[in-house]
This record gives sequence, structure tokens and C-alpha cells, in this order.
Amino acid sequence: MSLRWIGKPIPRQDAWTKVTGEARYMSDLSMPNMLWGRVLRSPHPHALIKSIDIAEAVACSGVVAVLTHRDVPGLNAYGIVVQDQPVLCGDKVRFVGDAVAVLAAESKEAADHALGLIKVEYELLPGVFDPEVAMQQSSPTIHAKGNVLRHSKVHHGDVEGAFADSAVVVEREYRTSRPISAFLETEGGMAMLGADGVLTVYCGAQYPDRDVIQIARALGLERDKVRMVSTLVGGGFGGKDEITVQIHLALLALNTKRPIKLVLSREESMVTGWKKHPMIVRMKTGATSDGTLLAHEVSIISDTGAYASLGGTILHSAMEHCSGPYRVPNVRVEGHCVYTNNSISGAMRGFGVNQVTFAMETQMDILAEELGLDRLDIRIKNGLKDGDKGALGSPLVTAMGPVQTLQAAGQTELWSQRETYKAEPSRPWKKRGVGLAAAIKGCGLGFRMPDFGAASVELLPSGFFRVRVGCPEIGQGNTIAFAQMAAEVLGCSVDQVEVVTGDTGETPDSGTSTASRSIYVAGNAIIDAATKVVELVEQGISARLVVDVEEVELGEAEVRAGGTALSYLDVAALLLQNGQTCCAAGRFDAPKATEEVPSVYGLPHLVFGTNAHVALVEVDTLTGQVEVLQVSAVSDAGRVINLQGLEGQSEGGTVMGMGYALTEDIIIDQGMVRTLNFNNYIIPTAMDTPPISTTVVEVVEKTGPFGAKGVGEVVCISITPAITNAIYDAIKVRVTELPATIERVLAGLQGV
Amino acid sequence: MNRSNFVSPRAMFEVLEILAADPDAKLLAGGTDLIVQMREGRVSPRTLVDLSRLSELSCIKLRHDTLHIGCMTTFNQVARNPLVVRHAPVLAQAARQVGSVQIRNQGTIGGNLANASPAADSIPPLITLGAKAEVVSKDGSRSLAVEDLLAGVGVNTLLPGEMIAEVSFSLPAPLARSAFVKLGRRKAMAIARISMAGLLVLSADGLVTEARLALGAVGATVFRALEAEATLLHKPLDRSVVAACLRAVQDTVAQKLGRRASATYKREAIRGVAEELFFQLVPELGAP
Repeated sequence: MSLRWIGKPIPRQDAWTKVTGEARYMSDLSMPNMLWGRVLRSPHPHALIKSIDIAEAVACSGVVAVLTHRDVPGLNAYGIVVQDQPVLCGDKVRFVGDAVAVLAAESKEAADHALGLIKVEYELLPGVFDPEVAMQQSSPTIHAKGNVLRHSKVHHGDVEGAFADSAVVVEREYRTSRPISAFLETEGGMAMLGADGVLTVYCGAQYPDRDVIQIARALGLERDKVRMVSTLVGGGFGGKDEITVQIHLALLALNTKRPIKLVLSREESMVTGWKKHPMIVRMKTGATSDGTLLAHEVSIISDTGAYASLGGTILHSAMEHCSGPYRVPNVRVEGHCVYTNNSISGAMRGFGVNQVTFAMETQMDILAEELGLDRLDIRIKNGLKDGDKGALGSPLVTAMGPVQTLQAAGQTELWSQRETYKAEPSRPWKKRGVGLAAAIKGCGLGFRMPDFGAASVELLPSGFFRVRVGCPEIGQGNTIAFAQMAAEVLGCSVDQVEVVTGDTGETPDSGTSTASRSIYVAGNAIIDAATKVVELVEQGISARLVVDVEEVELGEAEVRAGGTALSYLDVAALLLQNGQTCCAAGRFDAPKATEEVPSVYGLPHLVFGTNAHVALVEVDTLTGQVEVLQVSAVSDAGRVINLQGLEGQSEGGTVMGMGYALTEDIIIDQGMVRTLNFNNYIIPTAMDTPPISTTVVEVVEKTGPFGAKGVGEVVCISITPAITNAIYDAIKVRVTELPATIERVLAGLQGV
Repeated sequence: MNRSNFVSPRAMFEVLEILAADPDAKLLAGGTDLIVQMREGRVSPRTLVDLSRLSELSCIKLRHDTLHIGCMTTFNQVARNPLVVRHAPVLAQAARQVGSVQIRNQGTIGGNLANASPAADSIPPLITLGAKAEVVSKDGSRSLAVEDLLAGVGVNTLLPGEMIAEVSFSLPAPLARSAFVKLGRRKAMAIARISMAGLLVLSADGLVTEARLALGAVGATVFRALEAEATLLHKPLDRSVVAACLRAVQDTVAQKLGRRASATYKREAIRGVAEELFFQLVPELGAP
């Protein structure tokens, strides 16, 4: 198949306006007569609410509305899976930052001022901050049903027998940190009630169609009375998958009948935003003397904080990926997802896979060392292939890329010439090391979950085509990929395709922009719709010009019909007469595995993207400082749709995973968030970013659009253990707790 | 943020009048620390006095072998100024390591001093340069050594009604060697975990005639490591002399840190910072 647009590095359509600052996020919008909203939040990690007195705030000049739990007309709760998080707390608060009241005022300043006048009387309860303590019967209870949100076990093969047969068994405990996505745009937006009674919420979000369900349910409205617009979005990374401020905005707009704006400050975002789950991962892995993995026993304890959100699903994703990109025939894995009074954990790029891959890839390095094997060879030997079984025993029936990806990593100059790169550190007391790691991450939502794409393609009077897709552009670049895929099918140029995303009033529900899925599901739906539109154009022109359908051909600048060439403008003029349309809907239902993994809801996934990273680090043996000097990334995205987009994801993912490895951690002390801003929540800067090269391995997935898989998450996963493995290569210190701060690395050097 | 009165005087005397009348007034220089503190509710001044209209406070001048730097001079102005680069490279080196380009365009040397953070990047080099601060009030002016401005974490010794107008220092000897090293958690936008500046003057026969070493972020204020300095005086800069100096630095730091939480780390890591400093000061020594 010769492809015209697929795989080309075509610049994003939103690139210029974003670089110049002309682009507007939802939280940049303003309206005449607009009010400002603010949220009163709990200062306590665990307390009963005895009373809420709003009288003084209501009386305050400039204040238009002060609302509490009594003012929530519908279900006072939300949550993607379990609705256990109050819109506004009535009886109890469960973390510092829990919402207790919202208010609207004529100005931001008046809103700030009035917030301090709401009096809430609390009765403090003992808090629980350690998930292992929270699991004990004697622990304070956070939710009536108990502190364990999810407990799941999977077992297949003869684990005991396989450990007995193993030449070497490695057993370690790993602890991971609590990073936050730190998106450019904090949670925020605007809402207004239209004259038609439709409430429109403008808010950066990853799944506006589902947000509408949650908003309508909380407000007691019909879904068709709520519209949500989420375009453009200043970053999501999972942190805008769940409800953030949508319901608060909607509540205030409905109550005041005026446009309302509410934007969280960075400090508020740091306290209340969704973080990656900190996990305690205990792993015992056995292998034969030639390095063949035989047995794997894993226990995961995941701290989901005060509310469920996607905690259970993330635990299951971690369990499914607990052997990384490797084949292990005998596995036992047990997971607990536990409530605590820490701030809330939820979806964040990687969805539980970063934590277990960090652990597994450290295990692989230890196994290689104990067996005297090459770190690359042991990985390739065990790399998952089509037809193998995954960690939970499910057959892998799609195109698996670990072996090809690892082989390409082995061919990078950074790996093959690693001794040269390590030879000359910049100071006599510094040491260099090179590390390697790989990862897989499932694309899409897994078994049982409805996982579909929907799109429409329409010929416009201008001769352009409009593509409508629900999955929002959250910065990842799916818009240009959508345009390329549509243009490839239509035959026209990419410039002739306009893409609209993320507006429930305009775009068909196409599921969420998460789980590395939007290219895969929405891309397939676009192909379906565009194929139908091609037929409509061919048939329409054939009828009007009386030529054979076979003689009509859509080209880059014109449509040829027999001997005639028509511009697209002419085509539109011909086909759109007398109220006729040229529009088609497309649909794709993601294929599912034939069997569900017993006893863990929602597994397995079917399609997996793969990534490998090679990292060169220099460690200061006197200060513990780690500098990442160079990175080679290898990505298996199936067929690449936009090379520039893939490189962008790869580089951004690498830097994000580097922050996870070395510096990023939300510090919570007795429920109080201590890292409130970027002065002490340390994300890597441009100055810290090493040269990153990305090699593409296209292990084409036949169910994917043009053979593509999703890689939005997997690109950030393997870099973390590649860096920690490089640290070991440099100084023989094993990092088992993230992040590898200067203090931890130096303590390791001192043998503490 | 609470409300403050915001005034933006055009003349120095107005500023001093306001300061005299309202001792709680806060001066707004670059605001890179103050605005953050106000956002977090740690300070809420009744009156905020903006200094940005007083262009005369933003200048670098050489007069009679003394370099004068106005309090509103930004870090980027300091870092790029040819006089600073030529005569006080240690200050330029430190100024280049402040925050990011945006912070360096905004943050000022006077603000950095008045804020009195033990991790302030400009203070260790200023102390090694023997810099003095010119402090003015409605009633007059006085001059004091930079280290005498520092009273504790975020606490300066300015009296009510006073402000820092400028810092100045005599040009170091032409053959002085100097360097600044900062250990942070990342390469930009980093607050020093430990910082150190050094300035050495050698005689023609290679003996140290002057030595100043200043340490940041290892005590309540930036301070001079006097005992470590003494180990260098009248000695040649060979490996054993440097090693003795490093030991003295480590001892001083251990003593200064006492039992604070960061002591375990910093007691050890200071060696890396000091090693790097001497690697830059005495490149001919090479490996330890």
C-alpha cells in the first residue's frame, strides 16, 4: 500500500497559535457579566462536619451565591467507576482539599474574601496515611464499606514448583512515589445557562461525554440539557479524565443564572489534583541458569487516597503488566487498592504500569547480574511474542513488539558503544553508567468496558472536509493524526481537512482521550466514515456528470471524472445543491479478547504498544546528583501516523519518566501537601533535558488504523528503570525507592 | 492574597518618606520571592512600594576601583555586564545560575540581599568580594558589610524605615581566582541545597595571600568559613593544602548544621561542592 500522508512529519494545525499564545484554553475564556467562583476546601485530612455557617459570606458585598451540600439537587457524588466522592461534603471530609462549599462573586477578590467568611465546625477524626496501616481492621474507617477498595488475586501455572526449579530467585521490595501530571493549564473553565435552558460547561477535560453524564446526575438534569466543550485543553495526562471543577461550575451557573468562571490556582491544583498511585510492590522472580524466566510472585499495595476514582482499574492494569514485556509461565499476583486520608490518586499517564515496570525491569537487571548474563540478551530471550501468554495467562493475539524493540535498542549507538560513552566522566569523582529497560502498555479500556470510536466526515460548501470526533485534543496531537488519516482515505490534501474534537454539542461520543486509545479507536472510525464519504462523492459525481463510478477519482487538488477535472469547490457546488448533504458517520468497536481473566474485572487488554529506552547517566559520587546525559528511545507504535507527533510524544514522555525517576514527588505529611508549587515539586526543565533520539520500530497491528497502535503512555514508562539501572551501572547502588533523589543516591553510596 | 495599597513612587525621597511613615510597608523589587510569599499568605503587607519607576536604582558603575551595583539591577543585567564579567566573574557566574531567564530578568540583587535567604545565589559571591551594602533611610545612610545584613533565615538587620540602595565592592586583585558552585535538584529553577563561593589571591611565588570562602544553605545565613580560609593563607595551592582546607570546610559545615534534618546529607555532600569549587579555582591540580 502506497501511503500519501501516513507516517509523514506534518506540522500540527494548532502549532502556531499555541506557540504564539493566541490559542485559548477553556480557562482563558471570559464573558460579560461573568461571576468568579471559588471552592472552600477542608483543611483537615479526616473530620466530621458539625456545622456550616454561610450567613456572613452570603451577606458579604459582591457575593451572589454560596452553596453547600444542601444545594446539590441530584446525586451528591461522582466517580468514573464508583461514585464515592461528594460534590460538596455534607457529613465528613476525607482529605485536605475536600470540597465543602462553593461560592460565586462579582470579582475574584470578592470571592477570595468571602471564602474566609464561611464557618465550618469540624470534629477531628484520627487519620490514616499509610496504606498498610489502613488495611488493618483496627484502623480508622474512611468509608463505611471499609478501607480496602479492591482486593484481587490471579494465579496460573505451578508457581511453587517453578521456584523450586529456578537456578536463581530474586526477591525485592519497591516503593514508588506520588507524582502529579503538572499540566500547563490547571483545572478550570466557565459555565453558563443558555436561554434555551441548556447548561454549557467549558472545561478542559479528557472525556466530555462522560462528564455530561456525571454533571447531569449531580444536578438532576436531563443529559440533553447539558453540553460540555473541551477544546483546547492545556494538558491532561489522566489528570482531567475524572471530574475536576465541572460540577462546581455547573452548580454555580444553574444557581446564579449568570456565566461563571472558576480556575484552580497552582497550589489548589497540587493539593486536589489526581496523582499517580504510590505503590509498594513486592516481587519474587525465578529463572533458569540460562536466564529463562520461570516464576513470578507479585504483591501490590496501592494507595488510592480518599476516593476511588479509577483506583481499582489502575490496580488491575498494574497486575496485568506485572511481568513487564516478558513471558513468565507461572505467576501469582495479589493486589490491594486501599483508601487513605492522603490526597487522591487517579489516572496518570501509564495507569499503574510505570510502578510495576520499574520493579520488573530492576528485577531483570539483578537476574542478569546474578546469572552473569548480558542485560540485553536476557531481555530479548524472554521478550513477549505473538501467541505467548501475558502475565495473567491470557493469550496475546495481536502484534507484540518487545523483541523487535529490544533488538533495535541494542543497535543504538548509545548501547553498542556504551563503554566508550562511560569512559570519560567530566570529573574524576563522577561515574557514568548506561541502563536499559523496556515496557509494554495496553491500548484501550480492556475487557467488558465499552470501547468504541465514532466519527463523522462531511463535505463542506467550501470544498473542505470536516471531521468530527469526540476524543479531545489534549495536547497529544491527535488532531493532526485524525486529519492525516481522513485525507489518506479521502485522497485530498491534509490542509483540506478540518478536525473538530471534544464538544458534546458538535461531536459524536468517541470515548475518552486516555489509555493510549484515541488514534486507535477514533482513527478506525474516521476511516469508516471517510470511506463512506468517498463513495458518496463518487456516486454523486457519477450521477451528475453521467460517468462510470470507476472513472471518478478523488485526488489531492481535484476530483477527476472521466476526462473532466473538478475542483473540490466545484464538487461541493454540484453535490450540495437543494439542501443535499454529503456526510457519513463512522463507527469502530474495539475487538476484545475471547476470554476474561478470571476474578479481575476488565482484563485483559488486547493491543499493546512497546517502548525501550537506553539512558546514559553521570553520578556525582560525592553529592549523589544524577545527570541524564543522553537517551535513546525506541518506539513500537505500529504504523506511525505522524512522525513528528511520535517524536514529540517520545521526547515528552522521556522527560516525564525522567522526573519520575529522579525528582518528582508530592510530599504529604499527615495529610498535608508540602509541595505546593514548582519551587519544591521538581519537574525537569529544558536545561535538564538531554539529547533524546527516537528510533521507530513498526510492528504493524492489523486491527489498528493503517496498522497503528497507541503509545501515548508507554513512551514515559521504560525511561524510569533505564535511568535507575544506569545509576546501578555507574555506582553499584540499586534504586528500589522512587524518586532517586540526591539524598537517597548518596545514602546508597554510603551503604546506608 | 490579601489586599495591599500599591504605591509606585517616582523619587527616592518619596520611598523613604513612605518607609518612615509605615514601618510595615514592603518594598517590591523584582517580586520573585515576595509575590510567592504573598500568594501563600505568609506575608500580607498593608502597603506595597513598587521601586520599578526609580530607574537610577538600576545601574552598574565603576568609580575609583569600586564597582557599584544599584539595588534594582536584575540578575541578567549583572550576569551580562562587561564590568562584572571582567572584574568580578564570580558574581556573574552566580547570577547566571539564578532561577531561569524569566526570573533573572525580574529578580534583583537588592531584593536577593534583603530577602536574606541562606540559599540566595548572589550572597556567597558578594561576601567573597568583600561587598558592602549602602543602606539609606529618611534620616541618612550607613554602610555595612553584606554578612552584617544577615540575621537569620529570611531576616535582615535593616532598621525600620531603611532600605538597601546599592551594593559595592573594591575590585579584586587582577590575578584573583574565584568561582561559585551551586548544588541544586535540577539545572534551572533550582534553589541551592548547598552553595559555595571562593576567592583566592596568590603572590608571585604562588602563595595564598588572601582567601575568602563563603557557604550558602548550610546555616541560618550565608557565612564565611574562616577556619578553612586560614588553612590556605601563606601556603602554596598543592593537593595537601587543598585537602586540609576541604576537611576544615566539612568540619565547619558539620558544626553549623548541628542536628537539623538535612544535616546527614549536607555534611557529606559539602565535600562534592567544595571539591568542585577547588577544581574550578585550581584546575592545574586535576584529580583529587
